[in-house]
Amino acid sequence: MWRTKQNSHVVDQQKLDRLGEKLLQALEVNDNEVKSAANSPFLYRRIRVRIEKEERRITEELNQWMTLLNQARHAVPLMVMIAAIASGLVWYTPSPNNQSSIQNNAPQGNGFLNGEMTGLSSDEIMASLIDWNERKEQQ
Amino acid sequence: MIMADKKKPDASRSEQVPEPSDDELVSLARSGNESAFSKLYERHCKYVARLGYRFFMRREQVEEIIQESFIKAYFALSDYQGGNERSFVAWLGRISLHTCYDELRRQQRRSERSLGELTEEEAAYLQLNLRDYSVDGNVEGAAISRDLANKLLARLKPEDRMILTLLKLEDLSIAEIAGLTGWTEAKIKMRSHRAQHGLRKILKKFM
Repeated sequence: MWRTKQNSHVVDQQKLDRLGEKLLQALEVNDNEVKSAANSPFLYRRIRVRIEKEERRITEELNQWMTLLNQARHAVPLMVMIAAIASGLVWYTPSPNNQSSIQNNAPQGNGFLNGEMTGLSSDEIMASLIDWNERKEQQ
Repeated sequence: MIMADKKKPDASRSEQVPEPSDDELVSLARSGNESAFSKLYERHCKYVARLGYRFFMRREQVEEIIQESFIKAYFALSDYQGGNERSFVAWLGRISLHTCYDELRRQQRRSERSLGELTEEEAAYLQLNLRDYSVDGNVEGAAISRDLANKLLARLKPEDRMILTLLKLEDLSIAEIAGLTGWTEAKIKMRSHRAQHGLRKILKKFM
């Protein structure tokens, strides 16, 4: 029974395969159809037009890149100059570490009144202020 | 098997002006000679059209395949190496086949459902004919129109359909298909097995 079942399955498969081949053969085209598609008027012309369009697109794309490269080439000296100025500024300005150390060393309060800017001590400033007041009163 | 149409040599003409070979025309076309490319087109257009008709039914689709294939070939001319082992026809065939495959995949993505759908009449016609065929094995009974065959085959995966077409219709060997598609022989064997199984499944529904 098992063998009969297997045989019928094999026959089925063979039938299906032959049918499948028929199905594929149904796709066969005759020469006239092929010729009419191949000899279609303006087909080559259309191909040429599309090729030219594609070539134009490629050229335009290439031109855009060239323009960009050209601009970049002009921008390079400017960028170098800016970079040089920037590095010069960095070189000549005190580094933040130095600035912070000055600020840390500075005494609390007003730097001017403390005589940092003038180089005078607070006692000398007070003395000169009193002296200046006395002279004004005398006048 | 699809063969490029070869023109019969005209004795009187060939003595006067020998026809340039495909390789010569390619090198001329590469240097910008438009008429050389047009000559290549004239020679091999039918070959591409025949290949296109293997996968597509409508003439507009086949014309599109011809256009795409020749445009791709034009821009890839610099890659063509020529020689006896890789003839221009084989090279162009490969490009055309890939164009067909791409279009099949695109089509399947666009209208996955409607592509393989049959009308009620078509399904009835198919069931009647295929049952007759299965009963007495009558080949005429299984006469299937191209339209119907296309709709049924559209239910297969594009790669399966391509492999089946090349194997059964073009009578190409596994190695030849591997050369055309760029796939490995193992992949093609596996695909062809799956494709046949898939086709059987489709046909079984109508029997």
